[in-house]
Amino acid sequence: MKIIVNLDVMLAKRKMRSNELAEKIGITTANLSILKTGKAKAIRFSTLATICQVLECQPGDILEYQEVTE
Amino acid sequence: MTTSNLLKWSIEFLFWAILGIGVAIILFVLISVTFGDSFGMFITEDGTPMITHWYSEMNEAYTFKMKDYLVLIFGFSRIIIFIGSIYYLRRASLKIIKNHMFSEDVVQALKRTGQLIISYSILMIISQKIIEVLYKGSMSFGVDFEGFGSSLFLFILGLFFVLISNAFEAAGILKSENELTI
Repeated sequence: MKIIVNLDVMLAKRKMRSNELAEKIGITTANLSILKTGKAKAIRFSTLATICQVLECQPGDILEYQEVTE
Repeated sequence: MTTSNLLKWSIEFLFWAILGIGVAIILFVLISVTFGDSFGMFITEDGTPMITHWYSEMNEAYTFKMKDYLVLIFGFSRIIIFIGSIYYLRRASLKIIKNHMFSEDVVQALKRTGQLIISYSILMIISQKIIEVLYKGSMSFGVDFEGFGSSLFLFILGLFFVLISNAFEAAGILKSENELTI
């Protein structure tokens, strides 16, 4: 089971680029890439709150739970 | 001089000195035992081997017996184990000084250091007891408490190193998770 981060969908809806989002939320593009590609181990509530504020969305719009079948 | 520099130079000095001395001792003893001790370094003037003076047990003239070889084997084993433990301690220290403290190398080096120190302390006890039986005919019971050289202290120190390596391993996992926390 894993949590999928659907940032690309919201970025497309808001017509925003990754580097622009990274600058607005105060993280590096490398860290944003780690988040988008599912390599992140955890996300701080403060970071999640800032992302939702910038993208004008809810956490559920960007986070999705998926059952992984082996 | 910073603590890390002091550690680095102390451990480098100890390692190379111990390695040099250890190899020299082993070679000299092997050569002396095999080809005869013409330098008189291991055989004293009255013909008794130095080994008897090391344990201060014999007063009469003495010829090298099989049990003396056993003492040499114990001695060589302890030298080799000690050099090994300093080697791994040096490896861990140099990595920590370079700020790679939670790497797998450091974890394994600290674990090996601990394991070798534990082995040394156990060998110390076993060899002492066997030598007592061989040379005195009886064995004393009990553990030595004499300072930092005591076998019990070394055993505890070895266990501590193994425990520290586990702590470093856990810290490494936490660090990598933290680095992947956005």
